[in-house]
Amino acid sequence: MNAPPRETTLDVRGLEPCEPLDRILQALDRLGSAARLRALVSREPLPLYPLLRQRGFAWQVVRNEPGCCELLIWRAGDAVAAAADGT
Amino acid sequence: MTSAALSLEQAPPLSVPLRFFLTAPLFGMAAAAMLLLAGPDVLLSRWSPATLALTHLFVLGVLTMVMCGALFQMLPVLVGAHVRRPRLWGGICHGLLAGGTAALAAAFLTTAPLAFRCALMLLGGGLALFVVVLGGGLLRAPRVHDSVRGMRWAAGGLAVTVGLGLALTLGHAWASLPILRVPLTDLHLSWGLLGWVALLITVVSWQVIPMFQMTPEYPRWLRRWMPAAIFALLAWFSLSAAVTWPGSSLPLAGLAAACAGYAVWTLVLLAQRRRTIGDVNLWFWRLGMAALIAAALFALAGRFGLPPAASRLALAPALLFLAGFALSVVNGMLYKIVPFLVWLHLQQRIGEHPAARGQVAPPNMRAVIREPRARAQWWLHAAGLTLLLAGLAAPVLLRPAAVVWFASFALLGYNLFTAARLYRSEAARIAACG
Repeated sequence: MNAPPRETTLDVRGLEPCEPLDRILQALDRLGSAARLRALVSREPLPLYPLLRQRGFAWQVVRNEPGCCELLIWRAGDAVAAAADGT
Repeated sequence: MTSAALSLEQAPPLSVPLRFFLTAPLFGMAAAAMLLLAGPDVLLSRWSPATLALTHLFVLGVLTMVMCGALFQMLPVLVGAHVRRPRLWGGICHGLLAGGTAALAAAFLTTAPLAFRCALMLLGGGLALFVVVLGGGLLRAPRVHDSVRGMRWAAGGLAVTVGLGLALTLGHAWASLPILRVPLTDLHLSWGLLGWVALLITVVSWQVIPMFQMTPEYPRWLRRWMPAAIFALLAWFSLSAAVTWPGSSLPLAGLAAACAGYAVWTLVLLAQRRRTIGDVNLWFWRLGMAALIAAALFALAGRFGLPPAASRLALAPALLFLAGFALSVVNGMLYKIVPFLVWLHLQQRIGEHPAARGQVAPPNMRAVIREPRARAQWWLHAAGLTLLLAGLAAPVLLRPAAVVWFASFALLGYNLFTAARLYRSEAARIAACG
């Protein structure tokens, strides 16, 4: 049985633009294999998605409600990070 | 939910919105120069050629120019809706809108039918194309939420405004055509100011106020019902123009109440913002909302003959709405939207050049346009607005107002130019990394 992916949580709620996206991208630069980033942002970060796709990341929105959008982000093709239950 | 609908290939290059943004201050300077040359004679009445030319230079050349440019880029950023072939359609829309605005201003000043025909073709083509491109993008939006619905109402308001404007221009271009100029002009003005300008600004504010000023969200009921309510009140107002009946003041009262209520709500939200440091965007929003409340009160008073329709002061609601509310908000938003787009597009460039990661960091939004220069422009804007309003009572102040407006638009243009220059230099540094 595979080991669960390593997960880092980054809460950027309450930061003014463009700090939340900046910090998420910086954290992703350090993301290794079999690992994923759980990011908490104030609202769904639509402008982030093209940047993630361009940098070779996959993502999943696991919660989206007023004041909090929760995303899981991992390297595209990383089977260990992608297979885990997002919630 | 996994989102795979967005790709950079669909996102417009920064040059698409920037060409609109950099053109707008030029039309603002042209409008100010016209006010300076015409002096106290302008604003004598809403029908004077110089007043009509100046109004359209401002509404089309400044406000609509910025709003169109912003929508080409902000549709994907704010609502996830993409515009197909943005470089092509954006370029054509920009050229037609700029050329058509200049032609229309010349037409009002010369009253030459040929100039009106040119304006008709250029503006009619450009704005109709924009409505189609905007409508197509909104129809393809991946999720239909309140902002998408609101933008659809605003696109409808623009379509009605353009239709009425084209009908009026036809009457100028071919004098033999029977056009009911006064009622059609009233409807064109009402739909343009409220159905297009006010609706789009309110819908965009639901996104940008909480996002950039860190305030609570606007209430759901307001986001859901306000655009439809304004549209319905405008339709009712249009019918009242054709049929006189005892309750014909009600739609105007309803529109004034909706605008004032929205403005008060926005001021309350801004007072609850989590950011402790104020910025020039906040100043522009506060000034804009105060002007909107004043415009609504003046419009209501005007319905009861205060001030008399023949007085120059009768123009106060329109000036407060256009220069006080719409320009303040649009100007203020530029100081957030342009730095954000510069940052976003530089991040895209870094994505294209992986070697630049860790070597080049896109500048923080606050560093894209220097705050002291933006604040200086706010002071010029506020002084210009004060002089313009005072000029309604003391026309000798209109020329000083024109000089201050010219300086304000020139500084706005310079501030936006510095952002574009910074983008070019940073993009070159990223490309140099290989």
